[in-house]
Amino acid sequence: MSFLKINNTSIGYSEPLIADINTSLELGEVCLLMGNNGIGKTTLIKSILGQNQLLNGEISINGKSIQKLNPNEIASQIAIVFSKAEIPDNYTVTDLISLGKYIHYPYYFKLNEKDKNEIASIIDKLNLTQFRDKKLTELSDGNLQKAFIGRALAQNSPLIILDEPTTHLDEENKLMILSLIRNLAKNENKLILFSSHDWRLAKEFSDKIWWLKDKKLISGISEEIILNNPELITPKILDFNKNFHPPEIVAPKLEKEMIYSFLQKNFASDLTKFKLTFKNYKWELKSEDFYDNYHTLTDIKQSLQNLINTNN
Amino acid sequence: MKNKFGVLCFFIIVGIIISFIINLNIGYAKLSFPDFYNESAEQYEIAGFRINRALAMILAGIAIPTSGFLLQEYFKNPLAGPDVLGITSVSSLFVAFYIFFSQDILIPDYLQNSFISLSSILGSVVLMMVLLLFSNRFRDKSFIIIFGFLISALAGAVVSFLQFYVESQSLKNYILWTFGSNNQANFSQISILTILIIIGLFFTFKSIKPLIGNSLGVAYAQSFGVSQSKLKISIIVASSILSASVTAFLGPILFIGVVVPHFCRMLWNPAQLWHQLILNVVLGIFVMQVFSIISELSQFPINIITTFFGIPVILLMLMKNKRL
Repeated sequence: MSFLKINNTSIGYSEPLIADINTSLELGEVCLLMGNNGIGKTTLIKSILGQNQLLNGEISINGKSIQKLNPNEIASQIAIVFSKAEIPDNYTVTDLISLGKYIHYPYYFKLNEKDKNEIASIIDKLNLTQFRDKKLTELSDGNLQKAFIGRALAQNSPLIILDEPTTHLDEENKLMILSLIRNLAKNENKLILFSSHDWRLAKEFSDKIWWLKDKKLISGISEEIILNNPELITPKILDFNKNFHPPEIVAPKLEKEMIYSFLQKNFASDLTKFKLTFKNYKWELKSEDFYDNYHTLTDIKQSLQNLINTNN
Repeated sequence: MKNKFGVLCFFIIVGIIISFIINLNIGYAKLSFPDFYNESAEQYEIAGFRINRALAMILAGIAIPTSGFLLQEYFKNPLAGPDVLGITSVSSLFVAFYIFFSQDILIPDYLQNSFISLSSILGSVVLMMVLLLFSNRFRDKSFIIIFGFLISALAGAVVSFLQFYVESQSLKNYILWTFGSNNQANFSQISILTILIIIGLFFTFKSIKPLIGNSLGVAYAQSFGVSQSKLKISIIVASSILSASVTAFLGPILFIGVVVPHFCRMLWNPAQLWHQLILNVVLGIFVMQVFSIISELSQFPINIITTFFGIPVILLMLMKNKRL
């Protein structure tokens, strides 16, 4: 039996945003929730949290229907990291992470020794030890996000949902958070569902993808989803997958446009004489003056750069 | 250093005991020890009077800072408080209305005070309802101050208008009430006050955990299972009962509700709300006892004393802008 199961469910407000969702996730998996702005990612998260009424169908967690659980029982199954939160002025990292124990105390007067130790070990695990008594307002964005993830961990719920955990972060911190998510699922046997616009990067860290598109939820194993949907395919620039035999690809739109923009800036406004295609693992750059094959876009850029330099 | 909080509270409680004893010994008449327990003693009545005064100050010290503390945590605004929000001025307005409209009606003396208290409580409850109705907009920190200022100014204007037309005895009654005289409470009033404050504290205890859950914003609170509507109601009930009951029986005691929670946050980790609540109660009692002593020594009404102390502190808070 799957840990998180969504059966024939439609979600939304008066009109369904996403209809007929049928999917499930297991403990230990990382699932990336992707889709454009306004397509219903947050609504889906709220529906799983039981904060939005379902239009029809059923969402069950650990075999129990969400609609039948009270907020406290839901919280003991699902911990959440929202993309936005009020940052209390006076909270330290330890205070925030201790808040994860909130649902486990009737009046939250004093943490017992066991919980205190657990919070200390979470802080260590997240490499926040040197910031433990630092105010949240003084933390960097990356460490702040880690502290919020720490709060979710302290809640001890098997499912952790993160809404846009990588927005506002730089490359290095994005990678740090994504690999943290990956490790948590693997080492702590958590089920992690996270939404992200950085899907090109995030897909590398997830087992499954839920892709919201045209009022449908397309779900499956990450690689399959990517392979079966040409519009998602981007040749991996740094680390090329040799087993992957794409047919002739017209797009990777973004990279192509980057090169065209480079050409436009440096050579001519008329780009008709340049032709950029991707064939058999290689980029082909053709023009009236030359024809060449490259493995990566960086190579193209480099050779064009050399061309500019010699012309000057 | 395990129980630093206990040590802190111990020192404040010692301070309370000392100031309580001093407070009992200050006044026009010199009292001797037997006066307090010997019914046939010459000044037994005066002693009872003093005990009532000191007890009233304890109750005010519990209620006003707690009320301010709850409002500040709820609005997440360190300047919120029963007086800054205008609760006290609207209470005064209702008392003024009562005194104005009842001047021609003959009301027995023993009911007079109860009606004053009742109208004062009614005024605070009405304003609290209005505040909570607009509470989402009041998260804006400057707006809340402007609103409180405007509502106080409006109440003040209406009160002045009423004063102009009221007869002199009623005017005197009103002015005496606004002085926040700590001498007028009798024992039955103190008993009622105690009951009201216990009810207020009951709702306060119910609000603390949801307030902790609210600290990361409403979305998180909802995911912890905090019911916003229940919290809102217990905040209304607790803070208006606490501030209104004291205002009703002892007159408006200003600024304590803002200043005491502010000092408590300097003394102990502001994130620990249960500790803060206890600290507010003990420090509140201590401060009120000290102010009561100063009020007796200087012969000024207690309201004037709290204002003289409160305004500079609030000004400093605004200028330092640390937690605003």
